[in-house]
Amino acid sequence: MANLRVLVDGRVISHPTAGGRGVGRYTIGLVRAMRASGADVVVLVDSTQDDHEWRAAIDGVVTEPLTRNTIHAEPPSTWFMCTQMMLHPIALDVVPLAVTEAGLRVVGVLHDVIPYRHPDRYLVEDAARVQARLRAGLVRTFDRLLSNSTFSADTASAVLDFPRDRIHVVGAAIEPQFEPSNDAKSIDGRLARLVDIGLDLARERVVAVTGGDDRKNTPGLIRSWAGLPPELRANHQLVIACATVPAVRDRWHHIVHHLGLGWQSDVVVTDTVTDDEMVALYQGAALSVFPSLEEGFGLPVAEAAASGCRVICSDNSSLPEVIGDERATFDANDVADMTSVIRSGLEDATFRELLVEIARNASSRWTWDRVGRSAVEALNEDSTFSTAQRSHRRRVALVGPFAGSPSGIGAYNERILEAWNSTSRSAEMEPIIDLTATSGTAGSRRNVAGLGRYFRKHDFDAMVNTLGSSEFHAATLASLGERAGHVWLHEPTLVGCHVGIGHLSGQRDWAETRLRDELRRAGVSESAWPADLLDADGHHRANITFLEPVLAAAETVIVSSDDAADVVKSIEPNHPPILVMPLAAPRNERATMPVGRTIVSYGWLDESKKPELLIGAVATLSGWMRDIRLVFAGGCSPELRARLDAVVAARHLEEWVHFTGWLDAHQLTHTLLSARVGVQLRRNARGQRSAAVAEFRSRGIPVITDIETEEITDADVLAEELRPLLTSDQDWRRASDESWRAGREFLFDDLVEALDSWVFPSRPHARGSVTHAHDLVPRSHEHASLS
Amino acid sequence: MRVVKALLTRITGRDVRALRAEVAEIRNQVQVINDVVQSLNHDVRSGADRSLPLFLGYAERVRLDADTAVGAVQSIERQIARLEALIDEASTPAKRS
Repeated sequence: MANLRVLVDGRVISHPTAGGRGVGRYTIGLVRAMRASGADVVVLVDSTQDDHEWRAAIDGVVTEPLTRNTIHAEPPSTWFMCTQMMLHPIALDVVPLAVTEAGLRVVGVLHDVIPYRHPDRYLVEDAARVQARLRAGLVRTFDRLLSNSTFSADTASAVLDFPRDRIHVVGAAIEPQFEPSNDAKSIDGRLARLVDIGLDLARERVVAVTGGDDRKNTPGLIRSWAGLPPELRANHQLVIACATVPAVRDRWHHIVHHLGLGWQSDVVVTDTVTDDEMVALYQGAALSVFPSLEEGFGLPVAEAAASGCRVICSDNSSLPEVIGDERATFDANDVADMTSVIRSGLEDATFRELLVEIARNASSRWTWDRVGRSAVEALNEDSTFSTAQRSHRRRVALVGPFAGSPSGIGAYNERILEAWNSTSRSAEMEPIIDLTATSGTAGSRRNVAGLGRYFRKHDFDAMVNTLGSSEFHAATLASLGERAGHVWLHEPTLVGCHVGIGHLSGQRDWAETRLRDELRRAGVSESAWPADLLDADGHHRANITFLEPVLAAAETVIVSSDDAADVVKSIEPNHPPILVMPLAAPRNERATMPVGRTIVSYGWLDESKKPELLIGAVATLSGWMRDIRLVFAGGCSPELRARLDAVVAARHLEEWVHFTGWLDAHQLTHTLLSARVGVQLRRNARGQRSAAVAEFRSRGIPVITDIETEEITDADVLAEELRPLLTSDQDWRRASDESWRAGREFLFDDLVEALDSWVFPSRPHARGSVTHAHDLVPRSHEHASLS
Repeated sequence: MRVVKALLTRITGRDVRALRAEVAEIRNQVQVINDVVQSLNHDVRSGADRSLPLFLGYAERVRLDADTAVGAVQSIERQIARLEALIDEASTPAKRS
């Protein structure tokens, strides 16, 4: 038989309520024990923090990132161990989709089904009841359950309608720090903090680990304590160890007072205690009482026993199993019976001797060695698994703005998606939409805001995150996390994104605080910060890019030019693998020479596009010719629009300059085809390329741009460049031919082929390497030569 | 479904009962989704008719119900996968090791 192999869901270690407590600790112990019993255990982790915690908890533990690839690489005999089955708050990704797709067998770790058994108390909200029903349905799809007690197994089988013969009782175990000690001085020293809240080291103590929940029966315990003879109580304190909320403490205080007992003297409630304080409380106690009305496994009973403490407990649920002898139990619903057994446990020498023996036996029974062996035996017992080949159709997510976004990258992403899914590729591409600062909805597509909650990175084989330097990428940027996948930097700076988010907020204080945090994350020293944090040009002048955290998290980086690659290299010499991917042009029909002299600048308009320079050039041209139109095709902020309107009015160019606002695809095509010349200017260009330029070229429309060449800063110089294209048909045709040739060099078909090769490489990419898309798609050179 | 029908003619007894139970389970889950969506629709509409602070509470309800829908989908995905496995098993018994 092949060695048992188990993938354990390690995310439970950081679950908000279970991580540092019972369920998290149980999972760590179970992994350690199964490894010790010979199982090949791999812990799947979703973050560096979880990975560190697992490695700190178990020496030599094997961890793997929770990815679709990791899961699909497993043979069908592998088990997936579900550790978040019944947690509250309810975990949404209990069994990753990839586990189901890969057909792996699933075993769930069951701690209790108490909420199902007492819905009036624990499932009060309708939503909670519905979620519990769903969770039960999910559990019924599991192959096996591992249970901590026979009681849990029996009740789970009944309430979840799960076959009892597929639930294996593996028990629970006591951590090694729970051990006896006779060193009274040391014990008292470790309890010094509790003396301050009322613990009296001169009196014998009876310890109870309970809780605020009625099921823990703390009021019943207090009442039974009050029933003891006063002289016996005078020599003893009842110490209730548990964390409580003020309302519960107030209620208990009232009960204590009503019964004539002293609060924090006869009865001491500790609130949260450390592990060491808990052990010390047991070690020096005369007796431990566990009065609960129901427990999946009463671990404190076993822990008290292991600490050398005499233990008595309720005679219900799993507790008789844990203590292992009915003579050490009482009826938790009968205060007089509880009082009687507590009294015997303190005064009856014979009974006290018996309790020592019972505790010794109990503590020897609940070991991790036993849990590990039982779990391995249970999973080995089931040798049935499907060997049918499961299809593993790879999925790649393209994240960013799409059609409807003011960002030009939105339309560009839409074209990538169309090109990818129109040909047979090695993976399906799914769009994940960034709706930042738009009024659109995701429709039937996924919204990036749901990433990590309603769908996850490990639902995909690869994530391609597209970023530009505007606020329309804020949600994509926020979703990157520490495993960012492939990051496509259409501009090698995020200044516009961060500053744009600030302006978008309309809250200067908030925006500045956020920018300070981001500058610190990027490691920019305060002396380099611009005086006005919301001034994008100030950041550019200081060579601030905000890229450092993104490059640290990126699997690879995609840029548009060698210049942009140089920026990345200058920030991080040991940079992630870089792909230089030129902007692709769509396969459009060639435009004919239009009637009229229309100049078009298209895309989201901001200061970096130098609109005033372009208006200045038109003003110069207006001295030479009369029938010119300058069209800014795309949206812009109301503030900029108001300022540009004033500039236009001051120059008396109202009939010459037009702002269209945002255009749909049809309107945009119509506007582009009216262009005699396209103009795309960019201030502080640092290696980015323009999709608008590619769009003009794809139609053979002449373009004047300074994005790839020396920056144009003078309106008259720009006017001189525009003049021949507007006045000479021969010059226009020559420029159109040149534009058309350039527009055929790298098409979207080439782009998706290069992207496919890059995202799913035959060999891993090396850090510090730079690859050019043309090398991945040799045939793209043919387009240029054919033209 | 013609393929499934054809497969079902070849299996009998326990396997048929198991398949029926699985399908019933799926139907139950779909019913849950249907209930949640209808209730959500009602609540959001009636919430929107009232004041904004109230609507914030409904927004939280929307989030909770979206969570529930996600849970339901996960359950359905697994049940369908099991159904497929059962059909696989019924059609080619030799494929089980």
